Amino acid sequence: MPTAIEFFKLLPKTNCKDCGQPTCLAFAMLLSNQKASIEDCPHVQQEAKETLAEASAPPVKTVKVGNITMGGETVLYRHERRFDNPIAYAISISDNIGEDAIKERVAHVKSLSFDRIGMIFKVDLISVKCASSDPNTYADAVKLICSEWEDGIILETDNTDCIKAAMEICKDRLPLIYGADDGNVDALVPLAKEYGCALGLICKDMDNAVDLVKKGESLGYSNFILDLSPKNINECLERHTIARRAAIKKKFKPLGYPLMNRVGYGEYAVSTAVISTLKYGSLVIFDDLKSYEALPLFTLRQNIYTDPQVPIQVKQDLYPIGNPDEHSPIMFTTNFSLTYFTVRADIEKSKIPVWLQIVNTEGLSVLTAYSAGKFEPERIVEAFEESGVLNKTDGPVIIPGLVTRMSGKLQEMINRKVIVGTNESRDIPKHLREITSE
Amino acid sequence: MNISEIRQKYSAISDEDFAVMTKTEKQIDVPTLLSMAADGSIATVSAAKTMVMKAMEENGKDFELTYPETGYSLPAIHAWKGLDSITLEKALDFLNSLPTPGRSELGDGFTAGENAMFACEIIEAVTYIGITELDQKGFVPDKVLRQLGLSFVDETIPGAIGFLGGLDDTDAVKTLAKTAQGKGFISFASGDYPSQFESAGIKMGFDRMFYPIGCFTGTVHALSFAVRAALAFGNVKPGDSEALAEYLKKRPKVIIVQNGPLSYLDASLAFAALKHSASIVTDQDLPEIPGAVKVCKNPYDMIQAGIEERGIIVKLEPIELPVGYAPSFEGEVVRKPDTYVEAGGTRSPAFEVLLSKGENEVEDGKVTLIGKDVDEMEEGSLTSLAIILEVYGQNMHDDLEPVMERRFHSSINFAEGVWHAGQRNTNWVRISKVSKEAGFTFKDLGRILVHKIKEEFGQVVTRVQATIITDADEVQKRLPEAIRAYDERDERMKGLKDDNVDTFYTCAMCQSFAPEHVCIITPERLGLCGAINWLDAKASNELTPNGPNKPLCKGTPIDDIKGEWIGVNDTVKSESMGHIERMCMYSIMDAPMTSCGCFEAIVAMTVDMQAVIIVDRDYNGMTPVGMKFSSLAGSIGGGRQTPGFMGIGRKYISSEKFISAEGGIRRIAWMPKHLKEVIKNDFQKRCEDEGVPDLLEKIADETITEDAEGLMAWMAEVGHPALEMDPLL
Amino acid sequence: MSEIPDVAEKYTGAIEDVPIGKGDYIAGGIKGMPFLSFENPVKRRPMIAGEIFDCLEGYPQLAADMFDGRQNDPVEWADMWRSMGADIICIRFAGLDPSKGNTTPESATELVKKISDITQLPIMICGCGIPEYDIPAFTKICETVTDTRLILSKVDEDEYKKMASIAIANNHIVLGFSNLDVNLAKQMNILLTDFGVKKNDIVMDPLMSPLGMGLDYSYSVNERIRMAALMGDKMLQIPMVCDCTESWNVGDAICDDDPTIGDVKLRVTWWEAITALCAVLSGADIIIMRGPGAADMLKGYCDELRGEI
Repeated sequence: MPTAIEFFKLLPKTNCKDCGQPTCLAFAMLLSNQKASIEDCPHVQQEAKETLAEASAPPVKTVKVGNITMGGETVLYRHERRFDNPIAYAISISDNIGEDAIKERVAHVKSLSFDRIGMIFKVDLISVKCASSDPNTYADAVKLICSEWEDGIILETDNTDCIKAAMEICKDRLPLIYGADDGNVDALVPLAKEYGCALGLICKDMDNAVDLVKKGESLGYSNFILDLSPKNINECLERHTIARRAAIKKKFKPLGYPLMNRVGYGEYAVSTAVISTLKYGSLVIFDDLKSYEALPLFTLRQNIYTDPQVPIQVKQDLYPIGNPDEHSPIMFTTNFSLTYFTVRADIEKSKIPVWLQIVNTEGLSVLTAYSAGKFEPERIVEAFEESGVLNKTDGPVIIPGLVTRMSGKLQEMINRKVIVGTNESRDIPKHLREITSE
Repeated sequence: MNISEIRQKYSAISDEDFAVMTKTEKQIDVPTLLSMAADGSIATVSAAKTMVMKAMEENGKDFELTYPETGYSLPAIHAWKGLDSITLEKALDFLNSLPTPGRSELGDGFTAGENAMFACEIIEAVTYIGITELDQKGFVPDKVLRQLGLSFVDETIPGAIGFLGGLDDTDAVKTLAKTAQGKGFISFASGDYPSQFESAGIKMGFDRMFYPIGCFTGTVHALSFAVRAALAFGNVKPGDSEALAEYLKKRPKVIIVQNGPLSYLDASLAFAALKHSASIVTDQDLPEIPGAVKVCKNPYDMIQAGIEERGIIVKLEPIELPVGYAPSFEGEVVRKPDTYVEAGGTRSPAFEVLLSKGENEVEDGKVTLIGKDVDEMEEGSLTSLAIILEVYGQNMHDDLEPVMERRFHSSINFAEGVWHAGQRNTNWVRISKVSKEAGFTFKDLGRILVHKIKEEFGQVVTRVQATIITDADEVQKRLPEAIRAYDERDERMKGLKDDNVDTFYTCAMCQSFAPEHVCIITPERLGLCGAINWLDAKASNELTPNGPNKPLCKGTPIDDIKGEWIGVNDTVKSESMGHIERMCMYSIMDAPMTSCGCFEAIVAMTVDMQAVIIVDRDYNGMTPVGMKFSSLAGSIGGGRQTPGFMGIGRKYISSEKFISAEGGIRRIAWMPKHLKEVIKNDFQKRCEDEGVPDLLEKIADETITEDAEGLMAWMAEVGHPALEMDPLL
Repeated sequence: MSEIPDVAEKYTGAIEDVPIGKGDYIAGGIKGMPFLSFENPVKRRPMIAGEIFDCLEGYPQLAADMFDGRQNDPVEWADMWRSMGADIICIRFAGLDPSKGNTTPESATELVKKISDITQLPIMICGCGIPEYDIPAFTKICETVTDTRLILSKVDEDEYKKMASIAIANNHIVLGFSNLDVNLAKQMNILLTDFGVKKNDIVMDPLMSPLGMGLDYSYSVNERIRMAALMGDKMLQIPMVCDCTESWNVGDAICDDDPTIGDVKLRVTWWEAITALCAVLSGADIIIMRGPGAADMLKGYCDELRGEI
């Protein structure tokens, strides 16, 4: 990826603000971080634009399905930068199971939605599977699903008539057509091109993937997602790795596309999805997913796609743990999610009710926040006042052991006994038991 | 045991051999030492043969030689040579097979030492024929080793001391024994020492970690104990001499304290001790070998010298104080009405200083108070106060003084009801009424500092003494020395230039969240977090060699102006796992330093490419480059190299090397107002040195403009020097 | 001839071979990123360590229910793990802490001996975390049980000398713990080797945070450790141990009063299995597991990932 300066050199440097940024330099910075598109600058010379587009094109193409962006990745390991576009999960519904059954299935898909620390985990797409081979039946099913489901759609068929019929209903949703293979790539590419929709390429193996992509590109289209058809999770891992390394490290364009998997349901399906989530997949279509599989899988996606350089944060708030009362102790810590979860789990282990006050430190851990001046008595007292915790209990305040040096000031400010807590979270249960037994 | 008793005990030995073994020399240089060892060893091997042949006559050739109460046969021979079930005949064959040592190089000495050790072990074993039970002296049985257990090798016991020879000074003998015991060593006494310790009232025995092992050839029992530790706890296979030597290098750590004339036998056994990685401290005029042989004429200093020579770290006992002592008291404030006595804070003369001194100027652990102590003062007193710490260590040097001195603050504050602020001669100390009641004294203050400095810096300082002065005249008298030290330090810091050093330091502290980021810390460019300068990194590396700060040799320069060196590039490449190929220390445009995320401030090129702006973490508003600190930070952090942008520590702004490749401070066109305030003193001086005394006034801030056009207009208006330079691009 | 470029990395480093148990098991020895047959010719399967306790104080009922009562007898429990295909038995001596149980150095030694004899598997022993009780017990166990190389779990940079001495003296293996950081992991290995522990007598635990509770950190730290090792950093070429049993402390995994997230037994099983799968894909050589279902799934995945199915 070119640096901001390299982009800046090619920009008009007029600071006209038409791109929405105050300066060309700021815009260049966004370009180099792939947070803006060169198209946003109306004044850049065509020649420069092409140079920039070429230079800034990610080694893995970006493909849109509905409002979901897939691909566009630039690194092999998330610690190098981050993975940008989270993998999407889809569940399929057959068109021939009847209206009620379809509605029930949609309701089931919708039920796989969980609210976790302010984030909604959910299924992203419904794949409408054409089992009837009948354009009318198919179109009806798509219509019904679209009326019940607002998110992404996959048209899972290679029947051109069915696709056309369905497109009349859902082309605005920019569905994925899944998919084309050796036999019908000639027919499906023009069709996908006509609607501007992404097309899944069902590749027998790696070489076949290259052939199919080249065939498709020769037809003037390149909006593809590759299904490398692994027959087990080892093949899934290896084929995805080869494709992604070839694209990123060797700049081998034919494999520089998002990758997908079509799985069934149950253990094998979920394990494939796990591999695909870890290693370079952009989409997995399931036949079905149970809630006890979905929650861990969605959590995994959330974990893998966090930005390793931006800590996950918890909301500044008062979190009662184990029904604390008007005498329970108050503990507080930073809003770095890992700190929060660890402290919370250790408090729970003690089985002693505690008021846990989370202080917004912009996601920094205790010591880092303290050194950065974001975990100071003033901020903590502010959080106490916001939540009113000092009125909820007359219990002591326990200060994290690592920042005891501010205990004096804090005690003065809140006029409440401040007990020095442990340095390590794992020692919390023992310490809590000790103070409460006193 | 006097010489005639010895002669009687080992009567089988020929007169010639005995005479050589017990002969001594006074002035000993290296060739003398080597020939003493060779002659001593030849005589000892010959003596052993005589003893064995004599024993064969009485017991037959198949009689098996071994010691009572051990499972290791003849331990040294078993360990080094792998021999087992050694009959008299086998012993004789073995003695006959030993090579004749040369006398020209150190290796010859080791051969002689080894031969003598084996021969002594056999001689002693012969004297144990017929004895089945041990009587608290001589050979140390396995059970002692078992009782000591792992504490002998996990550094709970710091090591072993072998006392060799003897001293006529009873008080010194007593002090040596008490010191060894006080520091937790196990001790072996041979020569005249066992009887001298006894007369000094020192109790010895197998259960007291103090073993009289006899004299003459009996000295070998100390070595045979050390090798058994290696066999028992080091998982070393008998006969694997390489693994054995390797293990003995690490532990048990052995010091030999040798006094009085050195015999030929002792000279050869000394080489055997060196082969066991022991360090020898002697009062004889021997040639010194760093880490191995040290001459020390003062018997009271011999153990300390040995500890330093062998690199032993003695664990400190927890300090006992009348008040609580913990990090949790660091934040506690002693208010005026609660104060019993205070010093400094510009109300009374006070200072604190840590000085590096010579070996003989520091007595470890000594705390001296000059003037009244707390309990002799009135409530509410204001006193003068000097806190002087003097330290010695083989690896101590002046640059570490300020690093250690900075620890005074937290060390003092950790004490309950004791409060410290400031530094140098602007320090301020209060002791609360409650702590005074509890019995806290100024002497305690000294004890605390001695303890903490040794605890934290034990790798480099081995002797620490404290002097606390409350006497006003004496404080005034000692002040100039402290001021001189401060001034020298400041001068040294000023003189510390990138060009004058070969070593820079890396800081990998931030790699946990910015894996490819490497801070390169030079004398004129501190870490971008602002917390670690070159001296800190140097100290940190000396204290924790495997810690986050590693030295690097900057190597051949590639570009002096940009600050690019081969050594820096190589280090950056390997530390970033190949992601960053080059780094120019003084450039923001060409391969600038990577930025992790914890930089204090960001330098960014302006949109007209003429200048740079600097924005720090505390400024939340818009900047003339069109980005706030937060969005700049988000764009350049994470360990990337972003030409035109760079995270820095604030102090770097006033460095001569501040983007010197692009023209240095003259490029600065904008800074937040409060940042200007923060750096004002140093920066103004820099500006004057640079010949632009009015630069600070020409640098805009948010009260003047927050946008690009405004900045350009301002620069034109004030005639900013950056406008006269070539564009950055 | 395929036109797809060769993407196999040419690594210069490899993970140490650490012989454990009675000599017929080796941990480590890997020469490429996990399960990539095109760059890693050593097809050694990550080893699964089945967790058992000497006393059930604090052990979750949810897990106990999965062992049909065998958890009441540690030897039977261990043997059940063996029959399910575990490679290592991980004994946690929680009962050494007198407030939790009444295990003594002698009874602990007896237990290790029995389990070793009956299962013939390598054993990892974990203390109760209080050195005062752990050290005498470990000393006794290590001196007595010498016909199998034990893994002693675990030491950290503040407290390692005693345990390392015990291991060196009796030819056992030390598990060095570090807190989620490549440099700390390296530091721990350096401390141990400096103290005299041989490189192939060390395994390392860089802290496996479970799914939903910091897995993202662990996954990347592990990957970085493994890559640095393969690229030649000798002080990281140490087999990695990932303890996935922490999954059983994640609220979402063990919550049993929310019907919208499904059956808790199946959910916690998936939770641990996915955590473990992330561990092996980021480089784990030994995985400690609590649930039998999750361990079984992991074993299947590992076989499959090695191309055996």
